[in-house]
Amino acid sequence: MSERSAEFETLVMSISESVCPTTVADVWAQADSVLGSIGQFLRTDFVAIALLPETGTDFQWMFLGSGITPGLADGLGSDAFRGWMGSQLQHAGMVRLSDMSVAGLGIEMNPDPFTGADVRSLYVIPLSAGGEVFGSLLTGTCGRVLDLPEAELRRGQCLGQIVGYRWIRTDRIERLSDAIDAAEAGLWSVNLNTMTYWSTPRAKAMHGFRPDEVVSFDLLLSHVHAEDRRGLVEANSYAALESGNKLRVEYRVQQSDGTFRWMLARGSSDGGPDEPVRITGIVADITTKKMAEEELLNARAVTDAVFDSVPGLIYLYSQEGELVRWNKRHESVSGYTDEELRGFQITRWFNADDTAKWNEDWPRVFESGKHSTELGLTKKDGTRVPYLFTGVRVDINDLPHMVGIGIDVTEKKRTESALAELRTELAHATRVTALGELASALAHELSQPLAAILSNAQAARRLLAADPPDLAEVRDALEDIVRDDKRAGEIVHGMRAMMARGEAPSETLDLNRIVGSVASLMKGEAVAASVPLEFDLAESLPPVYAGRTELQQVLLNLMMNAIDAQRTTPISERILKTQTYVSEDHVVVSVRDAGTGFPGDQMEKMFEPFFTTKDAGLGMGLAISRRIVENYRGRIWARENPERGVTVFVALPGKEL
Amino acid sequence: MTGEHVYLVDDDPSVRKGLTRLLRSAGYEVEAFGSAAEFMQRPEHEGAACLILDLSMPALSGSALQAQMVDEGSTLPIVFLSGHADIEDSVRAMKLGAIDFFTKPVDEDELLAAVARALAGHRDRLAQERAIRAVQARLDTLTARELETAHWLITGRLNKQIAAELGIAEKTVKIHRARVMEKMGVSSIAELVRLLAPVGIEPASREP
Repeated sequence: MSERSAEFETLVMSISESVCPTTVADVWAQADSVLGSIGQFLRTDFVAIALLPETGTDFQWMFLGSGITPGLADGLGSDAFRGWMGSQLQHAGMVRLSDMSVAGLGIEMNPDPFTGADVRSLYVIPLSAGGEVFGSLLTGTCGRVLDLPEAELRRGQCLGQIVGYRWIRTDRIERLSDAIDAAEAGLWSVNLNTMTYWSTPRAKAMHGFRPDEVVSFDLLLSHVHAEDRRGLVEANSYAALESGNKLRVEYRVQQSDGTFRWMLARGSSDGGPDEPVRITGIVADITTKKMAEEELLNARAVTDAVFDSVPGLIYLYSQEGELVRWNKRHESVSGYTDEELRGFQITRWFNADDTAKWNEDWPRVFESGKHSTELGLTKKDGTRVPYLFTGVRVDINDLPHMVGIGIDVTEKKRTESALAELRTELAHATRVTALGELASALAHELSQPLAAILSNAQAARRLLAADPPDLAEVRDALEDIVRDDKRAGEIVHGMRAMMARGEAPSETLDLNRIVGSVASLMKGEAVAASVPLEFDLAESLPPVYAGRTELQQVLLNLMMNAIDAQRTTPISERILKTQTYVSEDHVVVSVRDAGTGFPGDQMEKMFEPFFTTKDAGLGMGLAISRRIVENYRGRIWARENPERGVTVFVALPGKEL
Repeated sequence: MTGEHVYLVDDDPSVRKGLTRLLRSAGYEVEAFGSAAEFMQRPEHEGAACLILDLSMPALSGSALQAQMVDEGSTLPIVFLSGHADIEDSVRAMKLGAIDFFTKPVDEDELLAAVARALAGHRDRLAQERAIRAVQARLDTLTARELETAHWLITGRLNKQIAAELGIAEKTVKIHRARVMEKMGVSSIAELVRLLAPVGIEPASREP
């Protein structure tokens, strides 16, 4: 026995040393001699090893040794036999048929290769590693019966396992290498005892080495970017601490052309239970990915920078009004932190004043696709800033969202009010100018009641001095004085109102009365210019809602223009006719003259600022008139009269009583 | 009506009323009109009168009315009132013979003084006219030869000289002279000279 054991050990040693295939091709080359030596040891006539793939029970490779006749080879390679062998290994384990003449295989094969080859004994020995069957050793005798004892079978199994496992591993490593190669990655291994670096040719090339070059870990490091060496060493050191420690490290390797490429190495240590002996892993060139990542980061950085540098708000809200994405500006503008802004309800930006407007605005974004509005934005501290918000509907994952920007319009508002101020000043200036022109007419107008008052007062004094005094007449004189004084007061008041700056509050007005008040101011001017005033006023008009002074200014302006326009009209043809009437739901006042009119193409321009036909005109009168009328949702337009001159119409919405 | 008559033309009713009351309290008869056209339709009035006229009125203005009246030879004195103190208007009015030109409101003293002045002027004017008409009436009773004789008499010719001029006897001149003096109602040549001067009959400037 001891002799046999020694023989076995010698064979194991020999096989272990020789069976170190590096490629599957080597396996095939070795198969014949290795299987032959096993047959020799077991004293059998034929030996074959069948190997299973990683998964499944269908044998993939069959390595046939010496002594296997072509007929037997066909039989062993047949589907029927392989299927049988697979089920036997799964259910029964080892198959021992020392005398095939006594018991057949129990499967039908035609022709039966075993009978044809006169196989008398057949042994099918499962090969396993780590408790898993990976193949089988087939051996047997032809023409004679060989009863192999259990111990011999075990020795055969051991030899088959050594050979088969090596072969399988070779295949697997080769296929893994191919796969890794195909993935443009390399395999590597660091021997922690010798600090040698083994790697696949591709991995060597990736690190700038020739395929046959012997590389130490230090030599490898010399090719690594100086900044990344420390990281690579540390990663390896950690993996070396304990078996199973993982390694993941990115580092740059200098190429022959001097450029650097990014590598990603992954691996783990293995070896003894306490001290690992090597670290094995893969390495891949991730330069492209890294650059794409960098580009992406850069692009993202640029986008973020752009978003954050925009002097306004950029936002994305869900239809439920929750803030989904926002730029950094939100924080500085609102005073809320990034955390507080997450899921911020859009309604919280607005206070009660804006609620009604907001309720109209929000659905419009989703109905019409886009909308913009001006609302006050309420900051965290409660202060409000006027903002212009835009919103565009965008569907994300089939859910409606609103994306848009918000712009602080404080400055715009300020400009607007400055402009309004300017317009008021201009209106005031125009008014004062118009009144300057009117001053003599006004003085004339005022002189009338003053003359009457003085005369009455002095008459009363005389009447009282008479004997007997005519008291009834004195009383009449006093009454006239009171009446005339009131009239003078009205003129003064009207004049003051006309001169007054700023916007008079709107009130309910009778347009006829406005016409009357302006006409009384105009009378002197009209008389001086020999323009007869004519009126055709509707008996009763619905009231209009406007500023009294402003409306007076409009009418004064129109009537002054009408008088000015008739300077060259023959006196007998001059006319200034003011009409009031109702047209649908508007109250209209028209002022008609027989003046020079406007050349056809200027009819459109006459309401534009600085348009004038007068030598000394500012060209602001009609422009301001239009602004006033439109301010009260009215309309002003002009039409050429068929015979001569122009009629200007002012229509204001009538107010329901 | 025999009293002092004041016409008032102003388109402003208040002014019309006030001024009317003032003038009446000062004892004048006042007749007021709202326009120049109405004034033109007024009934004739004998005796002294004056017109207070507003300068600017619709249709026919005060100055236009004045110009028209001057054209027609009216002697009615005019006192102008105006809403504004327009020098151009006042100069034109004064040139056309206006008594005065006031800017409203006008003080009673100034107005009444002007009215009084206007009325006095008009009164004189009327008296003068009456006197002329009387002389003219007497002159009309003279025969052609008597008128010739009167003319030579006021030139200071003696009866003999007149007889030579006219180619008649001195005695006949005496008779003419007596009839002229009788018909004209004067007793001296000096009186005759004074009487005939206003009607444009004056001593001959050259030797006939």
